[in-house]
Amino acid sequence: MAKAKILLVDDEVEFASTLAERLNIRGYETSTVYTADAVLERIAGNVPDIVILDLKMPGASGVDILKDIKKFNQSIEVILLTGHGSDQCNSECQSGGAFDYIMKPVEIEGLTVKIDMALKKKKG
Amino acid sequence: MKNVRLAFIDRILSSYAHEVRNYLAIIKETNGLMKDVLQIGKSRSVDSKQFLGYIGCVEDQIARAVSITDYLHRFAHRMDCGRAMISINDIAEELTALMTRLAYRKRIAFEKTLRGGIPQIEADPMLLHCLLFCIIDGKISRLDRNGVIRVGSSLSEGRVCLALESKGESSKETPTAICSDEELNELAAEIGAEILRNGEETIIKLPAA
Repeated sequence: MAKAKILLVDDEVEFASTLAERLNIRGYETSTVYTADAVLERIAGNVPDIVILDLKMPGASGVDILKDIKKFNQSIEVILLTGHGSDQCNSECQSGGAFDYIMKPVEIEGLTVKIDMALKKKKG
Repeated sequence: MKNVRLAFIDRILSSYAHEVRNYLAIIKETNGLMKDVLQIGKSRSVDSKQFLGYIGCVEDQIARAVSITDYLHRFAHRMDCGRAMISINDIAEELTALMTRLAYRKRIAFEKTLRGGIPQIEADPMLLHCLLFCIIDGKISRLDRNGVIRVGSSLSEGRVCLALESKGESSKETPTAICSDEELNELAAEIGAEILRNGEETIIKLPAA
């Protein structure tokens, strides 16, 4: 049985598919979505435990997608992917209700630690 | 005008850094995946075809990073001289490559029709780059998602022309262009260029050397 259901949202197809495979090797059940428009439809069809969301999606604001996810289902934990850690990113992350953020390129071990912490929070 | 020039360099560098960081992120993940398959995925047999696919992906990302770095390199070297002989087609290729990431944020694509055999122009490369960048940047900021910016070069009455035309819906957001029309005219005057505006098309005319 998978440790958790994860949805990875990033427009960089090679990046997202490779990271998803790495998470799957580590026992998570990870699927991918490459456009902002497809996120809610996918979530409605198969509710994930955690969404890993790129903050800079073309033509869409990651913070808006985050708010939509939270509005749809408050219990889904969201980890933001960002190119640069900054105070602005931190405040966007907090104001939108994200669990945390992680910088690109990703340190896989750091990401799995955050995923497990988010799961712990979700399970109370 | 100093602020405009600084903002221009800032946006070029930010676009370049964003692009290269994405290539590095893919290389890092692909490399990590190869390591994972060898170290963690013990139940999976190592498939050489699969590994060649991973290596091909890494090579592809390296080639892309090298290509955009070459553009930045040429761009930076042009700035070394105050006045130089320049090919308008080279400048257009370079700028659109370096601005790809800025445009992609709104899924805006460049369509280029660069005519061969156009004479060179003699101008200050920094000012010319800055002028063209500001015009394209303004068009990106005014366009909505999925628009197109057409870039075409030609020769007309002994003058080198670069036409920049945006196609698509106008953005409802407040434009974030770094330069006003007055400032663009000022920049153009400094390099002896003329700007013609016709709806969504902007034509820059420069004297051939």
